[in-house]
Amino acid sequence: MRRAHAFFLALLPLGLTTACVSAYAAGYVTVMPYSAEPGDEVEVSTYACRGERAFGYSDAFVAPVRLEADHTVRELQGTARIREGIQPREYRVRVRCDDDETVALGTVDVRDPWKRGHHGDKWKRHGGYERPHSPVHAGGGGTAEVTTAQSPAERFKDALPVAGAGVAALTLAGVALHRRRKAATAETTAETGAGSRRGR
Amino acid sequence: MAADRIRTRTISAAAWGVLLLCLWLWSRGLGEDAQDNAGAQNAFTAAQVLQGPAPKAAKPLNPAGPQGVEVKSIGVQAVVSKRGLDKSGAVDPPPFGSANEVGWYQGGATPGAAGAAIMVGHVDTRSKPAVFYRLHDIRPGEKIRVNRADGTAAVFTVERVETFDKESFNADRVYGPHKKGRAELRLITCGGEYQPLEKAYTGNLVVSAYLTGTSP
Repeated sequence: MRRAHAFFLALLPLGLTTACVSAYAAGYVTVMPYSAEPGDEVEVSTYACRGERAFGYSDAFVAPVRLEADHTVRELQGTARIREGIQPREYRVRVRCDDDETVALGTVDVRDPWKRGHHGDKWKRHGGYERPHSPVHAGGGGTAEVTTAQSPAERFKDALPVAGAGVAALTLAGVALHRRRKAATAETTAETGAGSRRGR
Repeated sequence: MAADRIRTRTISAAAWGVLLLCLWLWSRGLGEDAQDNAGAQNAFTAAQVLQGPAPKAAKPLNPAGPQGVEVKSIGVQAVVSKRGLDKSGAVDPPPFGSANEVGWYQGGATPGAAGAAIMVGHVDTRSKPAVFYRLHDIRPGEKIRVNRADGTAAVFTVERVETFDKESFNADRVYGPHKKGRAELRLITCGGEYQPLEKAYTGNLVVSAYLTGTSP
């Protein structure tokens, strides 16, 4: 009896190891977005592979997708396109690593495009939450400057050069007028013989 | 008479000088205005992106809800509350009465786990600044810390800061992850210009960051 116990005990670690290894090998494939319509592109990725390359297969895909390493994290990823005209349901996605042994599994949910807005049971499994798709409304405007109007100070600053130019122009006109008068007076004086020199 | 002539000449010369100076100042003013407008346009659409060698992305954590968020570089320290979507399909920020809180979209990823975690906060209320008032001052390379319900903290590095016009809003870029497998974070608030007639801002300011560290 004891020997039998010992035998089974010895098997235990072996069993655990096998379980762990197969869990690793089964791995997990992420499909993003999880739910897509025919014609959409989805990203397929997995951590399950040790190598640099893998291929992903699914009845939902137009063609097998090639997964390659992204050098930021140890993960392989690729882009697949959902086939047109297929039945809306969940499809299995299989990724085979380039060691030809490791296989990782995932799923992609293909939505019926004619039923947009009605996600059905699949979304309930993910907590019933959809992907946000609109800009946020996150401000009351209390601190916003009204950009079109200028402050009085700014307007004054802009007006100064124009005003200055105007004054200068008037001055010059005044000088010209003054000269004219002077010249006229000089002429008159010269004609009357007052002796003042005409000139500039 | 000579004195008078000299006086007129002086006045003339002075007037010409002033005229030329004023014309020059006026033309400079016009030039500055044009540049200001161009600058505003560029700031509205340009993105600031992390330059140079980027910090390595950290392995995503297990999911855990966020409780607080800190951005030391812009003085933000806030409690995080769970939010859903509003009826337009946008993440709903906390109400104006809780404008010092940051909302986390509970239908998306938890901050620190794989995927893009979304956080939204007001830039201002109808009368004063709110929690994300200084978000536009954040720069790529700065850090965001999220304290999680399991006692760990996730530290993110800012990768992009950009403003999206509401008219040409790219929901995939704003809400979707930029690189598969990473734990990412978005801080979103209103941006662009405020339009009093519509009582709304013209765009969204979106800060994108990715997980680069954790604290136990």
